[in-house]
Amino acid sequence: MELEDVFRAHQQAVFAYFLRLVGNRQDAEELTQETFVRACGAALRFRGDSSVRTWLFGIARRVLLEASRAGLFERRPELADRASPPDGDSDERMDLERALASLGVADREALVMVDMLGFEPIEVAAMVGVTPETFRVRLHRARGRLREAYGA
Amino acid sequence: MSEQPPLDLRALAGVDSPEIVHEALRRFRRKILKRYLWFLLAVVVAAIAIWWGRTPTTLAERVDRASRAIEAHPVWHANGATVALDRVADLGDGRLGFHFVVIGTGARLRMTGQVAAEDVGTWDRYVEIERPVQGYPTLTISYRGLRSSISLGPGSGVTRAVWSL
Repeated sequence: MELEDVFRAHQQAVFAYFLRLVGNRQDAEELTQETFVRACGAALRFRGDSSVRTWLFGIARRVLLEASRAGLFERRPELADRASPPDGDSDERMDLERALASLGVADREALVMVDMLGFEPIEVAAMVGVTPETFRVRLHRARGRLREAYGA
Repeated sequence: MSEQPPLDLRALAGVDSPEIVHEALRRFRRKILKRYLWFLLAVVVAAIAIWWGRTPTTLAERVDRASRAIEAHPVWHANGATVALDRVADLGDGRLGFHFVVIGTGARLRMTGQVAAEDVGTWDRYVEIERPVQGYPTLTISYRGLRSSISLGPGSGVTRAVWSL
């Protein structure tokens, strides 16, 4: 499989990750592109210790951290992606987006990685650099805050 | 801890993603090309610097570093000054370079066919001359207002090998 095809298979997930964390398409697109540029350079060093998806999101996370240090989150996030949702816009989805966007970045990241993208908590814990237990607690609290913000 | 199931966020992953990979690959290729060109430029600059550093620029360097050269050591005394010929070098383009060591403050040297001269420090004098077509050049030593000329032919102590360099 060509590198381009591998990247293309993960493009939407990486873009969605950034979109839900930074809150606007322009930044998300820029960060996604930066992730793939770096992944091109790192591809030769990829030894297959983890899945391509985990490896790519590890890079994405570093890109986000650097952007965050450069002041990315000092800009007020907009509500993300309402341009063309897949099954037509719905109030429920909009409410969920708003609730997620109202949370802190760490909470959003935990929820996006596990409940949106389907990573195992143990994988995310390794990526984030905390113990699985610590991450489970963080995830549990984030889920509680989301439910509260959503009003469920 | 709550036993409630987490809210299903999978629907939020279904975003309309623009084409990014193609542009990312183009950016990566441009980045590599740019890096390669910088590297190439650095190599070229380094090579030029090395070449420049090795290329003799002064007459003294040209004489001292010439590969075709003869060490010859005749010594002349003239009007109280002592002049020793240390080295004769083929400088190419029909030119010869002479390195003299002169003891005698203010002594000046002049040769027939001279095109350039350079003094280095107190004792070292370098002279560049056109290779004589026939005959031998004359060395003139000026010291304390007196002038002496020495023909550098046979009998001057300069070996024939110098003229066939």
